[in-house]
Amino acid sequence: MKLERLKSAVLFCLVLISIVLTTQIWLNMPIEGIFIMSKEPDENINLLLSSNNDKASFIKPNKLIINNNGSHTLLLNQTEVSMIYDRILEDTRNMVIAALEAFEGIDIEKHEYEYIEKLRAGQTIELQLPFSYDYKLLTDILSIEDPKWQGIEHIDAILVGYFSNNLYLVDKGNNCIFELKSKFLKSSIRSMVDIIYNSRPYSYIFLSEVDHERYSDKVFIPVNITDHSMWKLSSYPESQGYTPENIAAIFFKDKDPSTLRSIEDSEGNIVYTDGEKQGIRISKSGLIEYVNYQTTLENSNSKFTLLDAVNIATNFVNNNLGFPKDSYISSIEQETLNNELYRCLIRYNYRYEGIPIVNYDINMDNPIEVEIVNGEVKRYRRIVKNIRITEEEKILKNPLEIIDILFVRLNHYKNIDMDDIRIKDMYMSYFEYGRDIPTSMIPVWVVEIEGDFKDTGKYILNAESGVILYEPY
Amino acid sequence: MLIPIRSKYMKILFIISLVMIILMSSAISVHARRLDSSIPVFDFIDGVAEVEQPIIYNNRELSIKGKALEGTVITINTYWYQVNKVKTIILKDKLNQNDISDTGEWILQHTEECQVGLSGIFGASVPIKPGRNKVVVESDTGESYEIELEYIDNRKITEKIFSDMFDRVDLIFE
Repeated sequence: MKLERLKSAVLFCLVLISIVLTTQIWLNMPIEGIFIMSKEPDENINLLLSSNNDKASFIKPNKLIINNNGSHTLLLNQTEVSMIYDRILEDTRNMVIAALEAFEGIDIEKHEYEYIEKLRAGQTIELQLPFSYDYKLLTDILSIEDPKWQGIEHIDAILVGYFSNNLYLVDKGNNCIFELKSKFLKSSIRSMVDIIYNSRPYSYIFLSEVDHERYSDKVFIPVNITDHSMWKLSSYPESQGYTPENIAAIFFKDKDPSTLRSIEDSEGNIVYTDGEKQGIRISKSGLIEYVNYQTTLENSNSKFTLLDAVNIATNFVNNNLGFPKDSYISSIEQETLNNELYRCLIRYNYRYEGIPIVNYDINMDNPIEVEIVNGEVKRYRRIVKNIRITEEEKILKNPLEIIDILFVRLNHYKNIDMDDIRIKDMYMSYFEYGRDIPTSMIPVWVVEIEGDFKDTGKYILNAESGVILYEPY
Repeated sequence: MLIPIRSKYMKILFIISLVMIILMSSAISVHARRLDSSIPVFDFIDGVAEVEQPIIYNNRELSIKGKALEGTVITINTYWYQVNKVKTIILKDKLNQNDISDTGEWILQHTEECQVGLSGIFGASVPIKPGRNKVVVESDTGESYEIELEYIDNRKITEKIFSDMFDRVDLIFE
């Protein structure tokens, strides 16, 4: 009887080994990629704010696109697929690190930017980064000490062939794509894509494939979303979860709270200052601003790099109210003086269920901003909301109808020639609508228009009705 | 009739078969995934680029996109070729194309209509079935384009192999 059990166990092991080896042989996949390991649940999973984020985790794409033999879909970082989303990002990061650190065994080939059409027609995942990353900064953030490939200047997007495991770095400004190939590059992205396609995701199309003159290659919209709906959200400022004294205590950790001076203006905004170096302002709208009075642009003694600036900014936010879930660096502006960096503005954005948030104050659509001057935090602004789901559903309009509505506005009412209008980007967002607290957040389409006329910029249209809620003026 | 697995030789045979099936299905999977295809843009202004047909395709959903003048009404019809004689998916590939045409008929699967707006673009996502499919896109001006594609669903192939081999096996281990 024992022998029979032993035989059964051996047979079971043989079957398991055959599955693992077969998958490795045919799918060229690392063993850990075959099994999607469930990570330990995050203790802060239900909290909006989290801290101690690693700076590399702030490199996130604006759009994560899965290209599958001519069909495309957009993967949003939603709760039910967050493990898959994170795994794809992690595998891509690991592949970038492996490819750029390797001293041998990697072949690199340079293509024209048009090659992206071929990549999109094949089997690739495409991570469109929110801005053009400086190559050195990206490699520094990823802790690649001595990147081998020095001919790359910027990285706008990263693609991975999930069948070939080839890596593609897109430098749009220099009109080129670098293809990095090696038998050592492995990932489990293919199995992640399989899981996504088994769930029948929405089909998307690149409008530039149809008309590249009127639509940039970022314009990526779903087709047939007539049955799709999104929940209306409600939000209230994060500052309502604290007393003003609590917020002041976070910023003035090394001060005795009784030594702080506070002033409340007629609009209900509260200002705290230590009377020497720094102050904060807490607005009723939820905007929290920090200023270091002592840091001046003139004092340029301290040298710092972009990586230093990212580290300083990230640590500062981590220590002062933390990052909302799904935060990422959305832009970096830098100013140099005599070829030395002296000012840097780092902006962060966050998303709710994979959808970015647009604040009522459209100028704060990057809700966290940190200004670094001479290696110190000069200014820090944030307007973060605690978000709740409501029971109201919004049925979404076909995005092609949304484009039509906008074109009618521009062409018929503003008399702009259709040939002059070009759509630079288009994406779904949640827009904070109204000033009441709690504030409603409704699904919208943000359409970025470019052209040789004054009405260029962001247009925000209600995703349900198509009504234009905001336009540049 | 169910065949209970009671003898140890049958058990071994079953395990070997299982391993072989896994190997075969992954081979099919690899083969199916290596097929390249490109669905053309249905351009009613500048014409449609010629592509080799049937296009080999491996997704359940097919995205149709195209360009036409504002106001044009576009109708998209998809058809699936139903083979009269029941054949397995694998065997079908080996038959002469003419033989297949003689023994089946095109069945309308899906119809969709849309009017092109100022964007000048139309798009739709239509479901397709394993086997031969035909997409006909026509405008109200009388122009019409047609493509034929073959959808190879590796999952269905694997399921078919498994069901053919193990449906009548009663998995009783003693």
